[in-house]
Amino acid sequence: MRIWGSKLLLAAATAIVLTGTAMTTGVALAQETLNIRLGARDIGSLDPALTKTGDDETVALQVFNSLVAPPRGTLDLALENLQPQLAERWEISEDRTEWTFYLRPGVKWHKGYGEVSAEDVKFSYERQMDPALGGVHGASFKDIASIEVIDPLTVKFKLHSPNAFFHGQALTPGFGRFIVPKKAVEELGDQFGFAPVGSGPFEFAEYRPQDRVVLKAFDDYFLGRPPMDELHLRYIPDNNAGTIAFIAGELDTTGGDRTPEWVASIEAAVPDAQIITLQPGSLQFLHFNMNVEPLDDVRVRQAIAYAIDQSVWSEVFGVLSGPLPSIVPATFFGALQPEDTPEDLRYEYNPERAKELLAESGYPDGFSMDVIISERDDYLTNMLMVQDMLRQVGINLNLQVQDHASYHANIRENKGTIVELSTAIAPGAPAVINEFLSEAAAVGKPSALRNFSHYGEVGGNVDDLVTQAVAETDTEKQMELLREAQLQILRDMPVYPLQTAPLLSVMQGDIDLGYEPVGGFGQHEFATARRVSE
Amino acid sequence: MLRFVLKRSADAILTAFLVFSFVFFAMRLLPGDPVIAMLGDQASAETIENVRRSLGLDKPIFVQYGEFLWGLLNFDLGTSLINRAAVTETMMRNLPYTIALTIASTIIGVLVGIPLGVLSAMKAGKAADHVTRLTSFFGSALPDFYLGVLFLLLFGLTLRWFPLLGGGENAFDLRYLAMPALTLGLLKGFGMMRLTRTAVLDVSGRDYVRTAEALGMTRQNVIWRHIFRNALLPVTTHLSLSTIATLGGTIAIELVFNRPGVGQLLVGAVTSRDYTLIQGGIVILSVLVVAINFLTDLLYAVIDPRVRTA
Repeated sequence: MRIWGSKLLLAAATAIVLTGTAMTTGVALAQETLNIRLGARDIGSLDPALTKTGDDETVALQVFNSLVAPPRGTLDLALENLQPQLAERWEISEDRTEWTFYLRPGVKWHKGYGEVSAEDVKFSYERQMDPALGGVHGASFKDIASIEVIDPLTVKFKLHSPNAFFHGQALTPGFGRFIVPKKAVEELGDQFGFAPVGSGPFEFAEYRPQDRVVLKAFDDYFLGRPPMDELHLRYIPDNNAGTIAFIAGELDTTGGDRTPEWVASIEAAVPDAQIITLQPGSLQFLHFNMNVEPLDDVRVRQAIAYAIDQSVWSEVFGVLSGPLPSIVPATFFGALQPEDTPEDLRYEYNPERAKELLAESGYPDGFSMDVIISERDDYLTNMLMVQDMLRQVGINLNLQVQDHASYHANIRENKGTIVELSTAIAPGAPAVINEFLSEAAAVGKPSALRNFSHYGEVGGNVDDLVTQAVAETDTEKQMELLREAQLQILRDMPVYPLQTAPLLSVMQGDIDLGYEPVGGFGQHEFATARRVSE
Repeated sequence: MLRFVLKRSADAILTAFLVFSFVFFAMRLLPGDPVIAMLGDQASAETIENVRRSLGLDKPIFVQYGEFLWGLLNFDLGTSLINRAAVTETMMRNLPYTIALTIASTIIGVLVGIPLGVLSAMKAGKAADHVTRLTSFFGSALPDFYLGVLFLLLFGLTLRWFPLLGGGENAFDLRYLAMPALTLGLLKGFGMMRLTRTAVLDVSGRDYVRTAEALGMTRQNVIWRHIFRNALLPVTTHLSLSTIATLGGTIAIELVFNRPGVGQLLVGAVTSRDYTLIQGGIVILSVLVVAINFLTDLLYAVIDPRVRTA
């Protein structure tokens, strides 16, 4: 071999060895670090008033606190079970129009911004009640007439009218209900969304765009310094990449494809991985636009309900599907329980009954209908299954698949007929009914929320029942009113409750969160998380 | 030569202006509401209208166009509709990663493709030619994301030679650049190999090559002084197109390796109807593409003197 050839080979070999020995993970980690995957590409905003995605909420949950909270890992919003957070105790007036909170003294803000005060609480809510802020959570606070600072550690909310469910709507963690430091928000302006300051167990340390947010343990956290030194919340939008990183041990927790096959692949690759499903997860409904024939006929809507076999979803998706017998999941505050639902309102699969109802309403041979639907996996899969089931009773759905953004724009312009929606919502019957079935929430109105069926305008109305329930101070009477509203909704069938899609995540086997996650919106809190040795 | 440069410059500016304008209007013709995409599906109608007004999206389209052009003249590309970050800053943060990947993969592609193409042509019909051609056909059939996942599993997960995901400390952090660049570079190399082989075979049959051989020039000299330089023209065209394609087409690789870059950024912006980010991104990419084409034209003039006087 010629000399220059052997020298070249030697150089190449040396380069390979040196390169190999220089390989590190590339990021210096603190002693105890948790690597948490976020599915977004990047930050939307970490300002609690401006969060838009579940991933933003995951970060916010580690950095901020609310006034009160449900028992950890649950969606239990019974008043008697509320847990103190920034508020150590509270008083609620007999008529439920005045809610007074006494703050814990000495709770520190991160970064030396002093201590949490009543003024901060007032500021946190009032800024969101101004539509100019551009946040989406302000609608939850529409019942607030005024917020009064009684003294530096006492704040009183006065409501326009009695609301026994105000705590679930406006005071528990997430979706704009965190308390922020007035001084920091005013100083940092827009930058607060990229470098938040809170009172929570972890404080903001670093943001690397499209890579990660780094949070470090807050030594002065009022409930005790977290065991973990750092959280690295990493933006990894691709499920495959996240899965490989989890298998390699580079991630401690990740979500993935919501399929039984993905769960099986994780169990095979990482036998001691914890598979966590949070109920109810996303609620998936079919709204019937009652301004469109023949959906304006209750018999047609009931026929569709009888033609859909809900049990197929649990057969196909297993743990990734949950029952939804009524529009309000059974675990929500004020929900109608399955055992309280009369037989004729359970709409158990009965294609013969469906055909009878269609014949009675003048469609003995069925009918055809154009239906727009999002291309997103969960939307399209559900609708394809529904399409097949309805075809068996003569109802032909001509599906027009659209990209997700266009779909949501179009259904808000009232272009939907059978409108599928997959969403999360505050865990209470009043919130669900007001959002999807109140007259004021009908699309097309200035006050529109997500009432795609136009229930309340046409086909029935339960607004009065819900208003009475919200104002009712006797818990039993309140539950009775809410039950009656839900029974009426089942009779009128403006919305077919399809299923819940529990939120799925996996966690390395050596992580102990310090509590049992049973219900929630997919965000784990890591204040008491630790690695346990085998 | 000066006239050549001036003419090409004028063409470049006009092309860029037409592209900016096309993108501006095309975005607004897309279905879907950027404000709903921005606020998520839980926003009330009132909030949606308020935000639309605050962003100026309720103004007549030609007013918005005028503001866009004015911003361009002041080098202000606006702020993202989704997270209100400055578009210029966001692009300048991501662009180096895409440029690094483009440069690295192009170098690998050239180092793999051109020598193999020359070898294949010189050994046409022999075993070496068959092997290289078959490898190239097979390799070209592989989608980039598939090859990327294979490399991730082999070099990242199994052999642990490279870190799995991310962009590293900076855009040129070799530890994080290696696998993505190798993935794209090999695929580029396969394509370049076949083109080089064809170009070399074509030039090899020309009369001036036979003349050079007949005059007693060594095989090495014939290849490098006559064949290679003339074969470079179509290869340069391919290289230019390939580089441009990489600049805007790296999304699959960026997703697989979770690497920052313009591909992911712009696809995400289209999905969320982030008008300002899309506009700003296309402006910057257009300038780069026009610059690459301009440089390619200059390179032609350097390689082939006939182009200068045409």
